[in-house]
Amino acid sequence: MSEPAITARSLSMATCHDCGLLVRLPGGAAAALVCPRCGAAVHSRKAGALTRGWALVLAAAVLYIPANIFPIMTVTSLGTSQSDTILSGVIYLLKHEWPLAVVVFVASVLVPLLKLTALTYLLLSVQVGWRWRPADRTRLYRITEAIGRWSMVDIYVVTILVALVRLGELASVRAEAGAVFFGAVVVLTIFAAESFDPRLIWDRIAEQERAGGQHE
Amino acid sequence: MSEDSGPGDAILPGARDVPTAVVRTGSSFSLVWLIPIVAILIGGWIAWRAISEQGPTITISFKSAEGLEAGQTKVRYKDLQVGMVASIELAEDLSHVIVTAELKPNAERYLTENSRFWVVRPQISAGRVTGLGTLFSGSYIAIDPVREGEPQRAFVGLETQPVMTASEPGRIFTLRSSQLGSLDVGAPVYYRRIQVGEVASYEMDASGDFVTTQVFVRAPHDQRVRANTRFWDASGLDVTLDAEGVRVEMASFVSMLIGGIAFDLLGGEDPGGPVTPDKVFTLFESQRASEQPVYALKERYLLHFPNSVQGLAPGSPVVFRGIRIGRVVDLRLQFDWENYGVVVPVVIEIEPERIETVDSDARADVDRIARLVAKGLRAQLGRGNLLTGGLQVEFDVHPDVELIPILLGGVYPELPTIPGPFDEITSSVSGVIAKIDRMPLAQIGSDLQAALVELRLTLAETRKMAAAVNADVMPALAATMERLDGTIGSLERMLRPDAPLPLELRKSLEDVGEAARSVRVLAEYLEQHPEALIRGKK
Repeated sequence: MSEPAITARSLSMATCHDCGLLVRLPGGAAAALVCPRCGAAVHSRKAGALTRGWALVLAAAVLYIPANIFPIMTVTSLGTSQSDTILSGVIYLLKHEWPLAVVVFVASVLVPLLKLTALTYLLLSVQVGWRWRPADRTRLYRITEAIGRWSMVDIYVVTILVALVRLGELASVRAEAGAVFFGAVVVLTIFAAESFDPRLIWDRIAEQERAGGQHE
Repeated sequence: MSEDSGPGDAILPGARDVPTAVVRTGSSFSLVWLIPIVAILIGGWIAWRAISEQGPTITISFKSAEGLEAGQTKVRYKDLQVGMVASIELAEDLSHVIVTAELKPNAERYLTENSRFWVVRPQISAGRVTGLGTLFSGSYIAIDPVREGEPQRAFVGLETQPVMTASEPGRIFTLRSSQLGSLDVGAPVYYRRIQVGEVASYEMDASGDFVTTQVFVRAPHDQRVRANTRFWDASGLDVTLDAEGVRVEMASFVSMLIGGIAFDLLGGEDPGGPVTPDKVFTLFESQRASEQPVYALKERYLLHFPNSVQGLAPGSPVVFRGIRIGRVVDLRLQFDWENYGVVVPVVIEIEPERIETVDSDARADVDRIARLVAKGLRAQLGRGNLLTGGLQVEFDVHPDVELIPILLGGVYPELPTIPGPFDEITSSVSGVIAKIDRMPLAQIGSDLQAALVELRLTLAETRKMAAAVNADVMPALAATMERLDGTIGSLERMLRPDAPLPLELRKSLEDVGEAARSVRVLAEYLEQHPEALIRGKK
């Protein structure tokens, strides 16, 4: 067994975010601390990472349902109006332009679901204290955070179409409630990924190793 | 600067100089939980709204789903969307499609058994183009809501747009005819050449004998239809060729192309009461036909004509003293192979109501006809239409025909016939010719010649005699005349009133009278005293 890794937390120290001062952490890390030099809040780990993570993931999951049930946009062409949800749009594109269907599906269905699943898994793993592959989990977190923004592709399409296609009854696009919910879902997952502190993954392992070491 | 020693001291040499962060107390409740709470509230509210705003779901069955799309086709009433088609499925027996539609929440009020659904598509019918807007906006399902009736959720959709909706004021009338003619759904209905309605539907009767047509007449014109109104087919052209000449009639150009029905009252006829719901009008073939009085009772009789019936056909009129009482229904040829006799049985149909009875309600039924036959009612063929050469059956009472009773017991009662006037003329002419034929004309001719010769001789003699008479006899005759004249003059003088002869004659007569009186007295005395003859008068 290798030696337990040294982190600032394991040394009960932290740096101030604003002025960079290295400070010692008194007692546990649960209290709210301020820097003695500049007065900024000092966090060893992101505050309430688990709490916020769970809250935001829950909100995003709840709002993902109406995002898929309500249509995203209504396209009116030559008097015919057609409302489409995300999935019905994908199906429609499958018949006509299947590469586009793949793109929309990946961006609007696959990515948010993966994000939600990944975040749920990460939060769960940290909450319960699993030791499974911390390096991969951290990588997973990085991927999750990076691709989150690409879910907004669908929203961009809707906004650009609504802004550009304005020919009255001949051709017009209108955003519907589904777009709002979907945008909320994407934003919430971004915040949820943002609020999660991957260092917590390693903290748990380090704690367990120390505890195991002490017991030995 | 307070210094705490910690594990970092061993690693970082200057760690004991590291300042300690200050504890800041604060609340532990994280405001971030508001976000999922709000999200849940929003989701819950949306779900509740979706459930509470859900309207009734109905199924409509159509023959085909042409123009219908699940999730796209709307249900509209007066151009307002009241629902949407959710799904379209094939029925199990593959004979129709079942369309499931979700309607707005307050649609329950008018989903009754009388509500009707149909698909609005571009259509050209009855000279009109409808539903063009659906070329752009897509077909939609239209509803004709009717509040009255049992609530219903499963409907059978109409295949064609109904001519009128339940909300349009007006009335439907039922017409019956032997054939449809050139009518179609949507054909116009005219009153005095104004279109007041349309043909709503038609169907063949179960027995296949006639066609029932439903026409819709808009308000307020539906008030003009009364119990005695006549409906006739005003389609196409009406060409009449009769004794008055040629007549061409046409209701309108539209009706010539797509057919039409017109109605009106007969001139001067009482309109009758309001139309009862089960009244069925007869649809006449033309305005002319509608003007004929219509009778319901028809009785059939059988006639046998021995002579040619050339010119008689089914439909030929049956008249009684010139008034039409019926028509010929059927005529055939019967050949008796044993006796080589030919007879033509003719079936006629009489409308007894045409024969009005004075002073009573008695109708000309079979009994009365039998009595008439006993009195001499006979049928004969007569010249009907001079133009076409058609024959007609003429009835009349001939008092001097031989007694033949009516024959009952067959399919139809049989009435006796007599040869027609035509036949009579023919037979009498042939009789005369036969007589003339029989006369010995040659003999008569020669006799006549001989007689003429004699006559000439006689005349010559007579002339001679006359000349002789003139010469001799005349003077003697003149002398005799004079003598006669003188005699007559003397006689006249003798018989004058104051001549002596009459005076003396009178006196003598008086004396004779006296004497007679005396004798009478004597006779009377002698009667009372017969002894006076012997004893004498006392």
